[in-house]
Formats: sequence, structure tokens, C-alpha cells
Amino acid sequence: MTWAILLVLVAGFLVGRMLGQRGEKMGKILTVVGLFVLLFAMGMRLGGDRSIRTQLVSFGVAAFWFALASGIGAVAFAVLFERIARGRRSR
Amino acid sequence: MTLFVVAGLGLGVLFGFLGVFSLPEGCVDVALLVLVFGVGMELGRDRGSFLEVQTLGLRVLLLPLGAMAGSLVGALVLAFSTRFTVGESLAVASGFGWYSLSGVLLARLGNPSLGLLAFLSNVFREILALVNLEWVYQVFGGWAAVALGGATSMDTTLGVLSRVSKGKLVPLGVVSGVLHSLCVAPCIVFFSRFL
Repeated sequence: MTWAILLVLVAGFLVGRMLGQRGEKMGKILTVVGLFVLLFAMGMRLGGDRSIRTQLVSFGVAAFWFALASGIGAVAFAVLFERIARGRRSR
Repeated sequence: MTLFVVAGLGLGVLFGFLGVFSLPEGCVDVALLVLVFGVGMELGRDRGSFLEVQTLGLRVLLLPLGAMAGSLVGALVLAFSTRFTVGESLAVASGFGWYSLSGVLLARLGNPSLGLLAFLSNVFREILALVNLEWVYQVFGGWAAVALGGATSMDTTLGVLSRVSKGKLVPLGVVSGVLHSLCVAPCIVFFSRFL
């Protein structure tokens, strides 16, 4: 799927360059529609899967803490590494 | 944008719970490709989006490397206050938001309950990223927003990244997402087997 995503991204880029401003507008519409369907489908999977709801009871709290801790860690390190990258660049 | 994300997810959860209808097979893949194609079309008009990646050169790799290191450090800190071992905690965090792969891989490596934890934890990571991306971008900047998405910054969260940054973060998101995705399986195997 990774390669498919990259290929489709490049295809969209080329089509967008050909279509100009019209392409940009179409791109915005496709992005919003695609994102909404994706979010809706993800929600449906979570809400409709009984086993996920069962897992939530037994692992939900621990899973949430893991998600939060790794998310906070990623943000903190990204801020730090951005400073390093930009600091080096400006010298 | 946050409201849009919450509304999309919330409606999905509601309809899924009620079981009124089911989405056709492959719908998610098609929606993802439509989203990515749309992001590509927007990028085609905005050459400025690539400036950051061009200017930074190889230093752009510091973003995914830092984000992955940060995710693992976060899990490591948590390991000392939970019943999970350091290796288990790091393996769970190594999903970097890719819940389907991390859950299945850990279950296949012989630890089904850890697989469940990884699946749920990475689902939460993706939801946390989608819901909080906008304010994280405004407060901490672009790198932080991309880092929060982890492996999903090249797919699910790419659309939100594109919207909140007006396309500026798309190349960074793709670079970061690809590197995260490449590292998920090796990290999970390493941490679950050797620690």
C-alpha cells in the first residue's frame, strides 16, 4: 500500500500541475471527501466491532496511556530535533 | 478542522454501533487513495511546499528519527509505572500509529494479549493525532504536528496535515510516514524478541 500511496500522490501532483488553479480546487474537494469517508469508515469499524469494545474494557486504559506517552514523546523530541536542524542550517 | 474530524469519527462510531448499514469492501482503500490524490493535486499548484525539504536536505530525516525516538522514550517512561516490561512497552509503542500491522505482528510473535494492547494503543494514537493535530501545529509547529501522526502522517493524518498547514507539511509528512512505516516491523520484532 505504501507504494500505491506514493504513486497516487505523484499522479495527483502531475494532474494538479496540468490543471492549474482548477486542479487545486478539485484537489481540495477530493481531500475533504476522502478524509471524511476515511474517518467515517474508521469510526464505523470501531463502533461496529464487538471484540474491539470488549478489548476496550480490559486494555483500554493502558492502551490510552501508551498512546498518550508515545504521542507526547514524539512531539517533544520533534520540537527538540527541529531546533537542532534549523540551528545547524542557519550557521 | 478538529470539529470536522470529531464529527466524521463520531458519526462513524454511532452508525457502526447501530449497525444500520455496512460500508462496501475496499471502501477505506479507495477513500485513502482519493484523499492522497487530492493532496497531490493541491501540491501540484504549490511549489513552496517542497522548499523546506529541499533546504533541509538529509537533515529532514531528523524529524522521523526524532519522532520515533520520542515515541519510544515516552513508552519507556511508562514502562516503569505499569506491569509491562521495558521490551513489551517499547514493542507496543513501535507501532507508531500503524495499528493493523503492530497488533497482528505482536500476536503472531506469540503474545496475543500484547497484540491486542498494541492494536488499541495505536488506534488511540491515530485518533489522538487526528483530533489534536491542529492545535499542536499552532502551538508547537510543523515538525511536532507531523511527529504526532507517526506512521499515519503519510496516509490518514496526511489530509489533516495538508488542511491545517495549507499543504506546507505534506512533503514532510510523506517522508516521515514512509520512514516510520519502514521501521515498524523491525522495531517490533527487535523489542519483543531481544528485550
